[in-house]
Amino acid sequence: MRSTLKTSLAALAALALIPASAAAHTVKGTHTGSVTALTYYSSGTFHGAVDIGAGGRCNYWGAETGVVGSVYWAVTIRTSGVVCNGNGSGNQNEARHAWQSGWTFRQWHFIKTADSRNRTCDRCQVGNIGGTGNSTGPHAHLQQDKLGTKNTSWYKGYVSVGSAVTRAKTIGVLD
Amino acid sequence: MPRLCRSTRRAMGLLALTVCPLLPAAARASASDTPPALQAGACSVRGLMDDIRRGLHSGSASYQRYLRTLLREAAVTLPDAELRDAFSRETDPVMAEHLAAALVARSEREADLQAMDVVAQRALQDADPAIRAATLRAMRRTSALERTGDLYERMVRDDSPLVRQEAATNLIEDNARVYAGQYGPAADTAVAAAAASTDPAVTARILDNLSTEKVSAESTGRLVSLLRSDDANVRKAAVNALGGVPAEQMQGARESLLAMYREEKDANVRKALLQSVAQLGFQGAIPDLQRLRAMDPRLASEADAWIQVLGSGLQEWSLLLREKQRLQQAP
Amino acid sequence: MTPDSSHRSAAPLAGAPRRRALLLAAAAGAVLLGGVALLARGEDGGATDSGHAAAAELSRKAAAGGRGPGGPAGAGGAPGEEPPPPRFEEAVCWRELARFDTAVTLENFRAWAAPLLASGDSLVADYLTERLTELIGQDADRAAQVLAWARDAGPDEFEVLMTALRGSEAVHHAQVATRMLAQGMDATLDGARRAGILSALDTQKRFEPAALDTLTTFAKDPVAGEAGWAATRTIARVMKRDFEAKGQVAPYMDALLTIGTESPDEQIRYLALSTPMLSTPVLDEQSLARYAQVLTQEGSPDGREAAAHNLSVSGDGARVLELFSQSFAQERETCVRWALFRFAARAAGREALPVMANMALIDPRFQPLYQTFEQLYASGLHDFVRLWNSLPDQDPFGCLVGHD
Repeated sequence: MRSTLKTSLAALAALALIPASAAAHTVKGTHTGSVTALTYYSSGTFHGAVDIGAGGRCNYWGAETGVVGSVYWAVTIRTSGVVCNGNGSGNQNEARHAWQSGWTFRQWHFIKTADSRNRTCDRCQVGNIGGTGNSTGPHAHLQQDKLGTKNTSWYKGYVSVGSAVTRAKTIGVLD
Repeated sequence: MPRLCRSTRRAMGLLALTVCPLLPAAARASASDTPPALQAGACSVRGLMDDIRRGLHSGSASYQRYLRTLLREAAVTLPDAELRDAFSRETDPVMAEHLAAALVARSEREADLQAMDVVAQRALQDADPAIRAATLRAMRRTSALERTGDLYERMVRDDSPLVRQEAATNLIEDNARVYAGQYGPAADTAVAAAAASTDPAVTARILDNLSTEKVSAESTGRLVSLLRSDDANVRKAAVNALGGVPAEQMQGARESLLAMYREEKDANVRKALLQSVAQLGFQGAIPDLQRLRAMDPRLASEADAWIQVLGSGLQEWSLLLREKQRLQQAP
Repeated sequence: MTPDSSHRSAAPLAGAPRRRALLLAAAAGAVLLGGVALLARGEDGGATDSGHAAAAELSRKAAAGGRGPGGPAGAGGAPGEEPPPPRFEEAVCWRELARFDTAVTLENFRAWAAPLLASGDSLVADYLTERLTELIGQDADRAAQVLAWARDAGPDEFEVLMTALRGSEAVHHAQVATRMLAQGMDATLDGARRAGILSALDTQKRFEPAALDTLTTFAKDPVAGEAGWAATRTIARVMKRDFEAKGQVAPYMDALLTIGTESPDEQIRYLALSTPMLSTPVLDEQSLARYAQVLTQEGSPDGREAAAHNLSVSGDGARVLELFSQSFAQERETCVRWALFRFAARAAGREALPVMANMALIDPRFQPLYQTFEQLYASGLHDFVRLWNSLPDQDPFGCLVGHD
């Protein structure tokens, strides 16, 4: 990207009749459930992300991409069948959005459906909430990392463990 | 305190004015001491449009933004026919933009994948350039580049310069914000549009602001052709764009750029050449830069800056660019 | 990985949060605003009840009805189970909001906004926040008034008040920022409230040494808790702002590294050690030395990983490469080894390959990874971010998901 990008866009924003929205992206809930883990698991191991449980309900909720605003989602399917309680590390299905500079937002563990494909959308469904990959029950795992190093500041204060979640609930804000 | 004074005043009449501390003039003089009867209800297309119209006339900036967002969020459950009808009949550009954004939201949220088509049609066909510009803006930062075929190649050739620039802004912002340069077809669409435009300002702006890391070989070919443009800004922008091409095309890009340097007389274009050569080679570009440095004393300090920065060993282009800028801004 | 999922009910918790969940179901809820996580009291704080009847009624209708094609694609629910809810929630429209907008003042704001806040409609809450920011404007006295209200506001109102203050022009008055900092240190306020106040300082353009000092000392204090966490994040965010405005990072890096090595709280240490990546500073001699110590002395693996990440952008890539080479042999945690391995490439590019080859000899699991990196460099790539995005697998050891 070029440094001229910011200046030229700022100049043109003045021409627009309606002001452009801010750069930050809000993340909303993927389904109706509750937060079951945040920075640490109850066992004490580092997690550095948001887990939204589905109360055991598997293959029921559509897994909605949490990021508000149209972004491109790369969907990787590693497990084709219905898996609710895990089938081993590395087998999770993933929806991933790459930002600039190595920042990535990831959403995991959903079950493959006809909706599980790459596309650009604003809060679309990419599968059903399930437990593919390293999982002990159906849930959505949401994380933001830079070059594989987790960022823990985007969700803090919006939710705590036990928070009730719906698709209207703000889970966090990505800078 | 003010609340207590209000009720006290009502109870005690004018006497209370001496008891209560002076209220700010606006609150005292306002006839609307009674709170508004805020009642939640269902939304309607008509109701929202009326609110928006009034809001644009007399509402605060935050209220206007709220209404615009509300219409977009409500769009997924508003009656499709009514929304489309309101849009097709709307001639005021600001109102049309609001309605277009609502239809686009229906597409993006996957409530109605076809809804955007109606907006794209109007962008292409409406006689009013203000409407064409407004509908383009409504499609900004969405999947429009994937859904509208050759719309953008046409819009960059629109009669109206404003419309052309709005199209350019969409191409730039969508690639940056929706795709972060990671989706080749979107970048290819931008390159194709830039090449198709006959407005050098549009071509240059698009290519100056585009990440080309996933473009096709065909796009790179187009960029190389633009190196021969008569317009220096277009040449410079093509040079900028070529600096970021994918690994498979880097060798070819480097050769084209190096070959161009000697005959290129424009200092700004030469400056861009130095930058792109740096980007294509990182530390490996230092010998090239030393050779180019010798060819043009005007740009000696520029070449030196790149050589120094590349020598730092930083391994990300955005960091190299940032450090080079900091180097040249230091007192 | 969900621990204890069998111990948690699917339905929201009883009491006030449950009501809130119902109210939230009525909201359409999405606004693109620059955000801050204000650490208001948690879900058990209790919403105010007044004036939400209409919204609650609406939400009950929306939630109960099977309106249109809805819920999950290909639902696998058992027969007789409750039908899935509609795919989209209806938005809420408010009568008389236009009059609210015109006639609201700072003086009547709290009273007039209360019923809107109680409804749980997040779109209107965002509007209230922005409107309040407009009302505060550049006026330091108004800002002080809002800050005073925040001392005893309920969680929803607190969020609006502090977000509005954070976004105002008045927050940049020295006296306002000073007052906020003082409130953040005020032990008579509970931790979550102080955390929210300290979070609202993150739009400051820069911190003077005295303020940084206060925040640092506070953040690493064993009893700082949530507020200490917020102070740390605020330092990192202001550092980014200052840095992008061409300021110096040294004082902030000093602060974060102090917190990152001296706080007894692992979450705070990780935050302090990792958040320089928001700015990607080129580490100077001093920061490099301190991070190098973290690499060998920090007890938590994620803290060591954060060190490896930030060490990879420095003024002395050769030294960092050497450091990683040595650390790899001694490092027992696979995920930290993976960090050392890939960030070696970020530190020195193609020149790191010999060191990476050696790492792969020490740990043969890294052999295929070495080959991948070698191929990517051979293809002509230089930029580490491009390399990262080109990796066939960004998580070969399952480090991103962690282990329970």
